[in-house]
Amino acid sequence: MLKLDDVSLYYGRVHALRGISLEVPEGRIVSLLGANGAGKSSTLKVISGLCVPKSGDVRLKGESVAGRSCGTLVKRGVIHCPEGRRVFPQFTVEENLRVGAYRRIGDKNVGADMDRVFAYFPRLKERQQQKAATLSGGEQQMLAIGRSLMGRPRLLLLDEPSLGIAPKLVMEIFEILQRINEAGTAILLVEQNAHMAIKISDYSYVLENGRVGLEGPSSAIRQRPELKELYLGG
Amino acid sequence: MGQIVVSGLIFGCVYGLAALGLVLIFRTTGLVNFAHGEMAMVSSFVAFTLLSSSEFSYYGAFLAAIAFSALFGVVVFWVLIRHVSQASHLNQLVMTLGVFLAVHGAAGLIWGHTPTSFPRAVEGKPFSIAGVFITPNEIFVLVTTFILSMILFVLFRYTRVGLAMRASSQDLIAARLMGINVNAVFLVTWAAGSVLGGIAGLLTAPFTFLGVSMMFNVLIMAFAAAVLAGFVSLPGAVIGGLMIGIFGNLVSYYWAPEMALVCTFALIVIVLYIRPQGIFGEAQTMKKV
Repeated sequence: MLKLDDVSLYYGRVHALRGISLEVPEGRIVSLLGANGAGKSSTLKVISGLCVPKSGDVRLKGESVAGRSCGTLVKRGVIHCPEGRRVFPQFTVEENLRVGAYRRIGDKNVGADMDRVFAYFPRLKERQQQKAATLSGGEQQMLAIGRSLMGRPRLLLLDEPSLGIAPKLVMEIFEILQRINEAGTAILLVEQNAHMAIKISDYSYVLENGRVGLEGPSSAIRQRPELKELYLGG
Repeated sequence: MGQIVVSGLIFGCVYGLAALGLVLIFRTTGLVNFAHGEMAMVSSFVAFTLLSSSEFSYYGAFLAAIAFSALFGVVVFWVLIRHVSQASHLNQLVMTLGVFLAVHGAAGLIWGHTPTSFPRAVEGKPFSIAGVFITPNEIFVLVTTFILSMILFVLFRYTRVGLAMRASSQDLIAARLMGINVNAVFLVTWAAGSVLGGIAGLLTAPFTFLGVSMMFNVLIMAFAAAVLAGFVSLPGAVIGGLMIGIFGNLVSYYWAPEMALVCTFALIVIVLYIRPQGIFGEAQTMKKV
């Protein structure tokens, strides 16, 4: 469903991505691993339209979407759940979810989707009228994921959902990610927690200095000695 | 005393409207527009020019000037402010001060430096309500302020555009990721903010005479109101404006007119010292996790 072909990206004079090619098939979970600064988040930013690539192509179902606005991609079902959660702190849980459906003008299923989010994350239901700033880190991550679901993702780009969250909650969140995937949403998962990511993904890419250093089915990647460094590094 | 309070309230409406524009722009775009008053002054002169050509009725000129305000705001944002929207506050401050000076200078060249009179929206003799004299024009100012404030609150709180503005004010990147067109939101905000300023100018001109320096006082008073509102609360901006209007008028009457501005400034300092988040603002806290 998504294909990146030799994508390169600069921040000013810094060469962040040096020709990334990768693929996310319909309905699968693909993980994107690598050390800090390897280009994982930048790759997601190019896909979601936050950054415009210098060269290369981003194709969604065969159609080039490189350099399109975030709004266009959101409409096409590419939803980016950013690093650091970035929930709207002054909005209540409910308002955060509503703004996640911003592009769905006049869509009657928004209410039903909100119920679906609450079914995944009952804690959010309990805190529906609470401001997001008052939630714990794990709850904010749940809210960020829930907010992304409100955009009806065909492809969900998830950046470090386990960062700074209690291990017990990480397990819970990853289980829900699998359920979201089973409901038909493809996921491109960026993780420092390589162990968890490999476990739930079908295919993995390991980035090094803005390039794909290693790729393969997750079950095969798990066995590779190079990955040891990642565990140590992460 | 009642008379002083009521006429203070009328000035307060103007300060409140100007403050509303300031706060709206600051809240959404994170930028303090020092050129707010000067842009409003130009709108008043545009109305005056249209009226002098005598092809326009008062209300026609009023509406045309409002349309001009919106356009002026959009142009200033798109041509100048947009380029410093990600820059430091200092750069932004220099930019809006630059706009202030440029607009002030240009207006002086075009319309001269001699203040002229500007017609009221509603003519009519003052009448007495419970011992307090009030003119139909003052009632017009009160009603206009009330209606505009209500429209803005409803827009901000209950519409899709309002949701986009409130989201953008909290986190621009996240707003973009929701599919919000942040540039469009900024354009709408600048248009709306400038219209509020422009209307404040049109309402001010009959009281102060029309001149290139007519908005200096109003801008400072509006800043005081915005500070009371913590620069974030929209209702706070209006209520703050009314309070500042009454406060200034009481000082003028019981002490000296020259002291109104001084005391208002002192009030800003005191508020910033005791409650930097303003009386109506809330402290922006994000739980660190």
